[in-house]
Amino acid sequence: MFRFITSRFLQSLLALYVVITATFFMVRFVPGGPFTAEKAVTPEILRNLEAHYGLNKPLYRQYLDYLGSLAHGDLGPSFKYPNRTVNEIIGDKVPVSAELGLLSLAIALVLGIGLGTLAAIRRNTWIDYVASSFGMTGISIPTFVVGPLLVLAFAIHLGWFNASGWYLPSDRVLPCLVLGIAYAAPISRLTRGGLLEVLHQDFIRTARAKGASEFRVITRHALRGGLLPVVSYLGPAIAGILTGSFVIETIFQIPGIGREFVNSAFNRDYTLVLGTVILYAALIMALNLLVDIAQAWMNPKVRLE
Amino acid sequence: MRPLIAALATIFLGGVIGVVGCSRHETDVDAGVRTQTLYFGNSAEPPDLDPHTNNASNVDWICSALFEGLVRLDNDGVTIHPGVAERWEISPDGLTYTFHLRADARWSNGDPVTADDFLAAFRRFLEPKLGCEGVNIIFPIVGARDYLEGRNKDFTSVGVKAPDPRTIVLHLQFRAPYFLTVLADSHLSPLYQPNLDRFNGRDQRGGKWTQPGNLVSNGPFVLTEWQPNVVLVVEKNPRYWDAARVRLNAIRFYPIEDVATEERAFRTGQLHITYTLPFNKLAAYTARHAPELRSAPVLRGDYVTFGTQHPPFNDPRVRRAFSLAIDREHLTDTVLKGRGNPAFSFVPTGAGGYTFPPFSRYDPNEAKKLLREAGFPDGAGFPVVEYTLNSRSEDVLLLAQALQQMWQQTLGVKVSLAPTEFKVWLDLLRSKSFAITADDWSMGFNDPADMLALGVTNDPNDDAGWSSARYDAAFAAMQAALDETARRAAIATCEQILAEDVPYAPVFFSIHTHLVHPTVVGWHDNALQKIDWTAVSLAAPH
Repeated sequence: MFRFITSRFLQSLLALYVVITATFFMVRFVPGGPFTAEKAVTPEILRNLEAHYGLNKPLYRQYLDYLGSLAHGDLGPSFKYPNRTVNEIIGDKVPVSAELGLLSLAIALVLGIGLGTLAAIRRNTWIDYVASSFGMTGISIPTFVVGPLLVLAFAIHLGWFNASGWYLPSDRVLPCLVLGIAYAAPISRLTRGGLLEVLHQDFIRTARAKGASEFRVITRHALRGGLLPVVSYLGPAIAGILTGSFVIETIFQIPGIGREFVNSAFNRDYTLVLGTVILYAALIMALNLLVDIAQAWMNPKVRLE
Repeated sequence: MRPLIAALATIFLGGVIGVVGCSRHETDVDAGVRTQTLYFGNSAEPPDLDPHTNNASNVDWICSALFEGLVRLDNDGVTIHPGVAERWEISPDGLTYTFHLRADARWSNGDPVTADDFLAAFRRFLEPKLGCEGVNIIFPIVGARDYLEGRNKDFTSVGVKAPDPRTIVLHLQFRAPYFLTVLADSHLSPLYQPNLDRFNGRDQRGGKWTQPGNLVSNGPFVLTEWQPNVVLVVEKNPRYWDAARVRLNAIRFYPIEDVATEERAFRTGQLHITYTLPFNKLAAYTARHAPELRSAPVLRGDYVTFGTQHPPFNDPRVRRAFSLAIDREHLTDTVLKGRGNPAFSFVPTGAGGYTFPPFSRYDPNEAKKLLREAGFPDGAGFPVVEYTLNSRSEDVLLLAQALQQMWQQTLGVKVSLAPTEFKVWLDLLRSKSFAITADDWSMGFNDPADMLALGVTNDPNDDAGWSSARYDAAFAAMQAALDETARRAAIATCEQILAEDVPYAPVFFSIHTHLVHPTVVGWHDNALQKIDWTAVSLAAPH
């Protein structure tokens, strides 16, 4: 177990280094720069600006400088927001995205696993059809349709919530619901599929033969194996949900990291692009490791060594 | 299993109902009227609050609440009121401006605002290391451009003098009848020098002096809160010299970038004023004559730019044919529908108070004739034209499709559309690697000179890559003009040359539309899109 974690950790570090290097050079080779603006300035002024941010040095020098400050945990100043550093921006916004993400994840898990389980144990009844239709609809209809529809109903017509913002506790309801439903849909389908496979196996028949209640059979025996596909889906899904959703954050005007992730690329904010990519890559790697450990614990057929 | 789900559902629904039960019933807009707090939709998050380096109009809204320059622009967009300067004299030749500062002008910490603060502001605005993008507005000042571009490192050579603590004298190298409006711009705000020094901001971008608590300002409001991407709050400045006239207690600027989100926030009573209105909502608001809907022409020209350095658009006859084939009235009536007026000149009508007869027109027969003369009868043999466009907004695409259709039908040429990401598009524009594209120019000051500069050889924004000695001479004559008649004639010559040689084909002049709640008093949309916040207040409707 220890050897497994150490080797995976070292592999992740190597992968992270490759990601940083690739991103660093890729954003530099995209046409346009942080100071390309609608109203052009004279070449003299442009040179002064580039010198201030060290962009006039050779590219390999800038790369080494960046790695140097990164080793000290310094992600550098933002180009777009000159009076803030990338560390400050990430520090400000990640908690917001995490709050949105965790609440949505809770909704997604309760709703998704609940519906998926119901559909599996009441297979080919109306319950199954309703739950499966929910899954298909949730996967097919994007959040930028569901979001404005819920706002129209609950904020504009009923007046229960603000249409946007992240100021009051009630402002959490609509965005978390929309994002939760978006993730609940695939989770319910994966749960149903996984559970159906397990329910036909011998150990379930054994459990029933021994007189275990249906509730106990499902929760103690079937779900443990049936949720394996959900768990492997959750690794990247949690990383995605925690680093923010560009669409939800835009529709609901939420100050999360997801918008920075996308906008920094449009703004050619080199340091902020790198900062958010590093964050996302590190999270994915950490969560995938956790998923592997969780799978080994849930499935006796998987061994870590 | 079922009891478990039922329990979870109950908890969830209970939570939702509980939260809704606690939510308030008075909307922000209603509460704002009671407390004189204006809720303002302000587009994107402000990159910084440095009035000198700023190049965004939404930051200009905030800066004009925080700072005050020598003079102030009325909400009609024309009249100039005293600001920190209580009076001024302009010499008969129009080249020397002498401003007398009021004795009671104070910084928000109580220190007096002096002529030296203005001297330092002009110097910082021109600082080469700072690279301010809007700095061309003060090029009329003697020596300003040489200092900015490093040809002269001695600031005493620049025509800005402070003979005593309450006098500022500006020397211009040419007569610029619009110069007082320039001085009302937030770009020329004075900054509190001790804090610039403390936070290393005198010749660098990004100092912490713009943070709440650090920002000392001299305008009608002071910065009290800035939560990035959430809200920026300014409150009434009790030390402002004219504080008695300020009616609002606070303005809350919401950085809502998504236009549809902003419109929904307005409908649920979260905003008094929106920054803009989504294109697809305009028809609905117009149809029901919504009192909230405001629209006003702005000083922004939209035009087609030709890559004049590459064939076939290096031939002026081809460019003119393309311009003559644009049916501008049809375009504004059927495609833009209330978002623009047809443009028959390059400079927006009324800029600087000038109006001219039409220079560009729609003439399909003349267009066909010119194309035939250029060697392409009915478009035969004409290469497929790649129309490069930025994929920034829906309007850009609609315009491109309409122009594509007009050119194909009238001229018989084939036009293909190539959408590109915004900064990639800017890069193509700057490197002049395009055949044809559409662009727009929002004027930085209210005079034709601002926009006509785009035709001057080697201007940084000379995206057409066009050069004409005749045009350069006419532009120079405009700057050298000693009286209005000569100036007017020179401007007309510039327009005439543009219409003949067509590096740019004017298409339409923008109309800005947005929503203003009926409780807002004193808000007037003007062509410059500048606001005097001291004139704005909130009142419950009768």
